[in-house]
Amino acid sequence: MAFSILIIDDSPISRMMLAKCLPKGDYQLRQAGGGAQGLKMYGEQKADLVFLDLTMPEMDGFETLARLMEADPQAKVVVVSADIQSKAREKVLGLGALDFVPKPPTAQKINDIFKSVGL
Amino acid sequence: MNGLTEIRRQAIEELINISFGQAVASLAEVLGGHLQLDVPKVQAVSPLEVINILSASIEEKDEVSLVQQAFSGDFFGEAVLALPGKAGENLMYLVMEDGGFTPDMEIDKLRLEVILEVSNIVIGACMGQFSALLNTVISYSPPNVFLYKITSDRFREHIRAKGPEALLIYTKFAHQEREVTGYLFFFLSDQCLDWLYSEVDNFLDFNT
Repeated sequence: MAFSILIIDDSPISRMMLAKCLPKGDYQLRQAGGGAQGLKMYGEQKADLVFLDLTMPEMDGFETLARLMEADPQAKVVVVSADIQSKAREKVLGLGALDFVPKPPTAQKINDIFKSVGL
Repeated sequence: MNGLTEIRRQAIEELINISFGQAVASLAEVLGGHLQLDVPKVQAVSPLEVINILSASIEEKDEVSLVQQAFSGDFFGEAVLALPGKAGENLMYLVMEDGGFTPDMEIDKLRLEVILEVSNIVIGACMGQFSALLNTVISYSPPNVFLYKITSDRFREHIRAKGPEALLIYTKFAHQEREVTGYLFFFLSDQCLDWLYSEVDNFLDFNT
């Protein structure tokens, strides 16, 4: 297994839409239905790239991102969100996210991200 | 058509999530600051239940500003933006601060104008994006403003006038620095649900 991807999003449909945009390749794809579960999965096994939603019940993406970056400052996290406000984008980039992708994601944008992180 | 299956419910929630995000971003540009979004919910209800759900969601027994707007096209129904408490008034001050001016208008009239404009942005952007994602176009009737309790007879009668069943979609936004919370509800007539479910199925086939 060359590398691993982790998608954290409360919406199963959103996870499916993102998974469809991922380029073909030999990687492990894991999915978490919320922030707490995502942090747990990342803690058990780091991912080479994390896709993170912002608007989630219980633990939102801002808190998840902050906790994840605190646990692993080298984590590569891309926020994929319907919350496209400029302040949301600024906040996640300030917290250490690599990039911000408005929903719905496109295969071209995800492919560009893979290339930018060398996957 | 099998009605509101779990996967269709999840798909409609995600479509509204994307659409509402667009609407809230437009509103944030007008108001300044960051607006917190809630996760949308979708459920099949009767019009009588709509009143109870609206009332329970808002958790506000006193003043509430309601803007109701009908939309029609391949799918049709009504949108309601509810601004409980001082939200309408606080929105007015936010808009005035942002604009840096005091309009030559009575304060109550200005508050109404701001509420209408905010509802125009939120409802228009959200339903516009939702219909675009489903590859269709809708048109809107002029909005109606109700400044009484959500359980008032006048508002209740208006909601009761709709079909026997409805698909209720609801979510909310909150301004992080000011006391402004808005609740957005859509109810779609049962007469367009076959069309909606068919388009949602197509969306799922294409995107997942």
